This record gives sequence, C-alpha cells and structure tokens, in this order.
Amino acid sequence: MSAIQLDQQIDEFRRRFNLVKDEVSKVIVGADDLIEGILMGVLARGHVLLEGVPGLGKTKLVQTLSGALQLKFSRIQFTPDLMPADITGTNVVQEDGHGARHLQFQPGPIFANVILADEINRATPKTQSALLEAMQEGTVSVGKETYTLEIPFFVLATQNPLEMEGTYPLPEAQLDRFFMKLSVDYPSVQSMHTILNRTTRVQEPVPEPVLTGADLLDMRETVLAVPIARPVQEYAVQLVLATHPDLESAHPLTKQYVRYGASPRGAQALVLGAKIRALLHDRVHVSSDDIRAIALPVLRHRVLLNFEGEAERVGTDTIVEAILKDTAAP
Amino acid sequence: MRRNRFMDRTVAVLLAFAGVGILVRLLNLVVIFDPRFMNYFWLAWIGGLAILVVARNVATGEPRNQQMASAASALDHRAKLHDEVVSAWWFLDHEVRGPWIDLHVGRAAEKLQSLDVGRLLPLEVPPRSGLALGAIGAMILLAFVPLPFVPGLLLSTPLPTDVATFPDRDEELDEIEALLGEAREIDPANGQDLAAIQEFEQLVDQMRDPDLSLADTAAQANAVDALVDEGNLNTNSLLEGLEEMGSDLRRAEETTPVGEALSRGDLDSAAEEFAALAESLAADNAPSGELQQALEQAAENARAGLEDLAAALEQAAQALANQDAAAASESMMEAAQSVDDLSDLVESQQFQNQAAQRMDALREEMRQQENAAGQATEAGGSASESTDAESGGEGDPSRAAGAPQGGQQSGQSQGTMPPEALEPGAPQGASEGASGEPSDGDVPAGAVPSMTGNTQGLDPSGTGEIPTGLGFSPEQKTGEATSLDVQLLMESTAAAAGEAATEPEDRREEATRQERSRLDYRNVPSELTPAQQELLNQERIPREYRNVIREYFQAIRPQNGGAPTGETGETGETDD
Repeated sequence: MSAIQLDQQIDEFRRRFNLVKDEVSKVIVGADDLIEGILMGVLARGHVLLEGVPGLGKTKLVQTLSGALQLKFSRIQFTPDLMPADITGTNVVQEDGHGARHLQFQPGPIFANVILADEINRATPKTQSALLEAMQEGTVSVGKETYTLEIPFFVLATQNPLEMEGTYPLPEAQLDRFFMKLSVDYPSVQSMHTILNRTTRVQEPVPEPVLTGADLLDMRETVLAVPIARPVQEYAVQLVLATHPDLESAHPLTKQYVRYGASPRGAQALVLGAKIRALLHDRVHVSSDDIRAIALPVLRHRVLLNFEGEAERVGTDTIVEAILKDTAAP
Repeated sequence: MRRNRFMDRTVAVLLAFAGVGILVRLLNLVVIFDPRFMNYFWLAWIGGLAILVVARNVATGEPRNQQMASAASALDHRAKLHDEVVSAWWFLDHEVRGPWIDLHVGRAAEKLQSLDVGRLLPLEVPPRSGLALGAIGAMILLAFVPLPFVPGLLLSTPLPTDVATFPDRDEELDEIEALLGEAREIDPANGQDLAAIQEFEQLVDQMRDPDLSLADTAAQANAVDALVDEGNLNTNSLLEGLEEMGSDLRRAEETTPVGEALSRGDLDSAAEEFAALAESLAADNAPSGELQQALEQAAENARAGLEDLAAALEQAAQALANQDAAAASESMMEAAQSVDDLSDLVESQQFQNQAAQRMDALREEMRQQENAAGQATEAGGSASESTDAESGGEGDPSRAAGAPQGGQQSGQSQGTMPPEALEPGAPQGASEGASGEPSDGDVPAGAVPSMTGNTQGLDPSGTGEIPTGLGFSPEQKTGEATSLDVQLLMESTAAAAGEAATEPEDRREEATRQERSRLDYRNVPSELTPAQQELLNQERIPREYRNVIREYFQAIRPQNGGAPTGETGETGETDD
C-alpha cells in the first residue's frame, strides 16, 4: 500500500469519525469529549461506562449514537429484580402444529450491536455478571448452547454514583472489561441554553444513520495498523506498572492507597486509544501525548482502592494524575 | 546536544571537585597539613579533574544510538513533534519496516528538514555553571590568597617585605661581614670591641653552614648579643659622660666650642677643637681663669672609659695653674687624641650595631621559615607548641615551657637597658627606676623589651644605625629556668594518732617554711661592666639640678672648718 493510499485511508478514517461525531452533536450539546471517548471505545472494540447523576443525558447520548450508526440497538434497563436470563435470553417450551413440544432459545436483548445498559449498577452483581462473557468473548452461553453475538458488538453502560441509594458496585472483572469510564458532568451555562433551545421546541433534532457496521469494522482495521514505537509503548507500560502497589516502580500514592492496579487490558486500552487519537490528529505514529490524553478515562476504573484509600476518599483520578505527572515520557 | 551534555558533565565534575577543594582548605583551618601534602593534593586535584572530565565524556559516554535517541527526544520536545522523531528513529534503528512505518519515517524526515536544529538546540550554559564558577573562585581564593590569621593555611607563611629572602642568606652574611671588617679597621686596638667582632665573625661563619640550624647557632648568637649590648651600654655611658663634660667645658670661653661639640655628640669636631685649643695655648695666648676651672670641673665628671680624657684635662688644668702653657698645650693634644679614640669607638660600635641589626633580621627570617615548616609538620595539638617555639626563638625548652627569665645575664639585660634609660636626653631617674630590679631574676618573658625598644636612643646621629636588636632577639631569652637553690630540710613534727604512731616522730617536709636561699645576695659577685655599674650607681638627681645643688653645697661648705661661705664657685672642689 502506497503512502498516498495510506493518507487517503487516514483521511477517510477521520472523515467517518467526524461524521458520526457531528451527527451526535446535533442532539447532544457540549459533550464533544464524551462523544469522542465513546467512539474511541467503539473503534477499539471496547465498551464504555458512563457515570453521572441522573438527568445529564447519558442515556440520550447513547441512544443518539446508536441512531447515528446503522446498527441494531438494544436497551436494557437494569433494576434490582432484573435476572440474568432477562439479558441473555432463555429456552422456552414451544409447541409445534403437531402438538409436539420442544425447547427453543429466545434471545435476550443482548443480541444486538449496540447495547445500552442503563443504570447498570442498580442490578445485583449476579445480573451484572451476565454481561461478562458477552463483553469479553462476544458470545452468550445458555444451557448447553453458546451463541455468538453479531459484530460489531459493544456495550454502553451508564451508572449512577455509588453513593446513591439502591446501587451495587460493579464486580472488578466487569469493570476491567470496560475500555473507558467517562464521567458526565453538568453542562455549562451556554450548553444549557443550547439544550433548552433544542429540546423545548416542536421538532427535536433526530440523528441520521451515517455509518454502517462494515464501515466501523474498516475503521477498526485502520486503528490496528497504526505503528507504535517501543519507547512510547514503554511509557504506556510504565504507567500501568506504576498502578501496581507491589512493584518497586509503583508510585508512592499507589503504594499507600491502591489494592489492585490496572491489568494488561489497561495497557491494551492505552495503546489502542492512543492509536485512535493519533489518527484523529492526522498522525501515523503514537506519541506519549496520546497516551497521556486517554490515561485518565482508561485507568481510573482499573485502579481499585484499598481500605485506607476508601476511608480517606482518595479519588482514583488523583492517583492516575500523580502517576502521569511523575512518570517520565520518552 | 553533545556539546551541551559535555558542558553539563564538565560543570558537574567541576562542582564536585571545587567542593572537595574547598572542603580540604576548610579542613586545613583545623588541621595543619604538611606543605608537601598540600602540593601533592593540588597536583592530584588538577590531574583528577582532567581525568574525570575526559572519563565522563569519552570513556563513559553514551553509545551513539543512545545519543541519537536523546537528541531525537530533545528535538521532539523543543519542536513539539509529539515523539515523531523519537518514534521514527526507533523504527529506523531497529530496522522495523512496513507501509505505515515508511509513511511515518517519511513524514518525520520532512519535518526534520524544515526545522532549524541549531536554533532549537542552541549551546546552553548549564544552570549550575554559575555555582561551579563561584565554587572554583572560592577555592582559588582560599588556596592562594594569604590569610595571616590562619597559620599553615598557605603553603608558606608570608614573609615581611623588608626582610631578605632566604636565598639571599649568603649575600646578607657577606654584607654583615663587611660591616664587621669596617668596625675592626676603625677601632683595632679596643679589646672589648675586638672580642665582640671576633664572636660576631664566628657567628657569621656558623650561619654560613647550611647544616646548622638556628638552634645550633643560638649559643654563639647569645654571646654576640651580650657583647654588642655591652658595647652599646658603654657607648651610651661614654656619650652621656662626654655630654656632661661638654656642659662643664661650656663654662669657659675658650672651651665653649669643645663643650658644644661634646654635648651634641660630635666627637670629631670636639677633637679638632681640642687640638685648636692646644695650638692656641702653645702660641702663648693667655688663657682665662675660667678655662682652668672648667677643665677641672670636666675632669671631675670622669666616667668609666673617660679616664684618659679626664686625666688629660686635669693635667691641662694643673699646667695652667702652674702657668705652663706648653704642658697645657700638650695635655690638650692628649685630650684631642683621647676624644678621637672615643670617636673611633663609637663609630665602630655603630658598625657593629648595623651588623647586629642585619643579623637579627636574617635570623628572624630563618626562624619564620623554620616555624612555618615546623607547624606544617606538626598536627593538631602541636600548634600551641609551635606558637611557643616561635615566640621563644630557638625552641629552647625553658622558653617553650614559659619559664621565667632569670640569671645574671638576663637580669642585667632587662634591668639595665630599658629603652628610656638609653635615651641620651632622658632623665636619669627613668633609668634608675628601671634598673632597680635586675637582680630579682623573676622578670617574666613577656616583660622583655622589644628589639627596637632596647636600642632606641643609641643613635646619636639619628641615622637609625645605632640600634641593635641582637641583644634582645628572641633566641637570647632561652636560658635555663631559674630557681632558688633551696634545700628542703626535713623537720620533725608531731605525728597524728594511727598506724604511723608506732614511730616516735614523723618527718614531714615543710618546704614553705624552710625555703631559703643559701646564697646571700650580697655575696653574689657582680659581673657588671664598669659602664653598667656606672649606670646603676648614678645619683638620682636630675642633671639640670645638679649644678644648683652643687653650688648650694659649695655655698654652705665650711671654709677652714668655719662657717659656710655665702658665695658659690669659690672653691675648686665639690662634695656632691
């Protein structure tokens, strides 16, 4: 492949990305970073967790994104009484015309391309864990049968802060499966005015589908082709290792407040996210700046605090920021 | 990049070495190092600095690929290239190829071509260079600027600028020897001068021997000191006696020029005036009656050493009384000759003093050098001993131990030669007051007059050539510690009850009660010269009142066993 073709491929990648982003921005106001982060997660074959208090448009954001993609969308509202079978589906007894009865699998809402797991932390951990296999392997096992999910498949989950009533913390294994955890903050004054202007009129903007599943898969291939030099990759590794309290290279804050550090999935997420960011900035190489830019959403939910950290209410963002500050870039 | 790194490393090495240098110099404030050690230290310092700079920048330098990676990183940071050069260099260095990598490297190359590397990476002065320069400056200041308050800080103690340097030692001794030769030529007949000159010449010979130290020549120097001092005392006494004679001679018109010349110490003129007076008498010029009286009075004031002059004047007075002008003229000629001899004596003493002064300066210089070397070799606690040795001259144990100065010689020197007493114009009482203590022998070392204080006033000409410091040079004050010859008698005392009670008597020492000298001071033979005795025995009457007192006693003097006369100057004798 020639340099010109590669340049065209990169330009096409950026065009498609911006196409989706612009389409979502028609509906969602003042959330460019969120949109970009969610799209990064989608392109990295990952899942994204959105955290914020109710009413900030988390669900609307995901719905709008699914509307901009020509993909099958499914929404699961997590409640305390939600059962795993309500997500994965179950075998039900069917009777044919001859009166013979047999078990037939009834797919659950997880069989879609885009899953909105709304308020995921309101369900019990048992139900939350029903997503584990699907999120990692892209398959669902019911009884003796394993069903493969259609690709692209990604989960966009929202959750309320843990301090709120009736919430259950997500299992560590499931948290690790999320590519990013994005925090949704209150919109600015200007954004509020725009939101009101758009949503209190007769016609609300409706997103148009601008990207197909095939396009998404092409973009994923482009991302994986971006090279990364060892010094930059070494930087990503150092960042991840700095979150491990048992290692010599651990940051002092890590040693004091962290129980478990980021897994290799964290390093993978760092590199993939950095590659996407490099492409978005018209570069064919990954830089330490790319890694630094995505380190916070990638690592914040992968750093698990110990009792002291919880007791002192040390935010994981504080720890990750300290690591970024003290780790030398190439 | 490489130059900046070189400068960085060099500055770091300089800073470290300057720190070491300053540390050693500061340590040198407490511990006095051997000068040889300091020399070796500075050599090692310079050599080590050069080696380390080379080693850090060459032998232990980074491999080329690391240097390139560092340069790439610096370029990325300066040009905000987002690790593009670092990344491209890594792919090139590791020969990783591919379409994407080729595109990446191509883009990086284009970027680099558009960059002004020299502007992005200029030669930078390391931030610690100011500190390093300051440290180096401080070290140089400490190392080479003399700090007199720190003994041994310098490689050698700074010498006074007016003292001859050590390499000039032989030349200086030659000049001293020349001065002694002049003194010998002027006054070859004087036995005392001859002895002093011979002793002096022996000292000069000893000083020429490089194997002999100051301590080895101390005894000879002490002997020379004593002789020169004695000569000074005699000279001083002679000058005072001549001044008194001059005062008496000014009473007559004929001898007024002679008296004035004697009073101002111009002995050559005085001799010429005596000769002129002799010729005048021979020419049958009638002398006045005052001349005879003035000559008699002058003859009465004869001091030790002025006997010949006094005798000549007395003979002249007698001849005048006998109306024998020829005899009087001959006596005047003898007086002229006597004054001329005295002039030679004083001039010879001046040359000796000059020689002594130069010898003193030379020995002082040598002492300072020996002390500097001694202090450098002694560590820590020996510093105080060095100080004592320096002040005590030749390192005599008694002086180092702070023993009081005693003995006959020291007592005489200190007691009879206070600076005030040697001033020609000073009142007599001053010298007498100071001379009352010489035999005590307990004058502390600190009470020794200074070299210049000892000799001031001995230069009648005011040229500064007369004073001699040799007599009071530090090495002279190195005699044995004095002590009373005490016999500690054992006295029987009543014993206390106890185990010792088995003996009828206990013998206890009562040193304080029995501490008596067995030698009566009146039996101590005097070793004073006549001139010294003259000084000691001088009456305590100020000179300006002597004539008044003399005239008073002459006025009340009973004539023919009767009542005193009411006039003065009528008798030829005085009884003062």
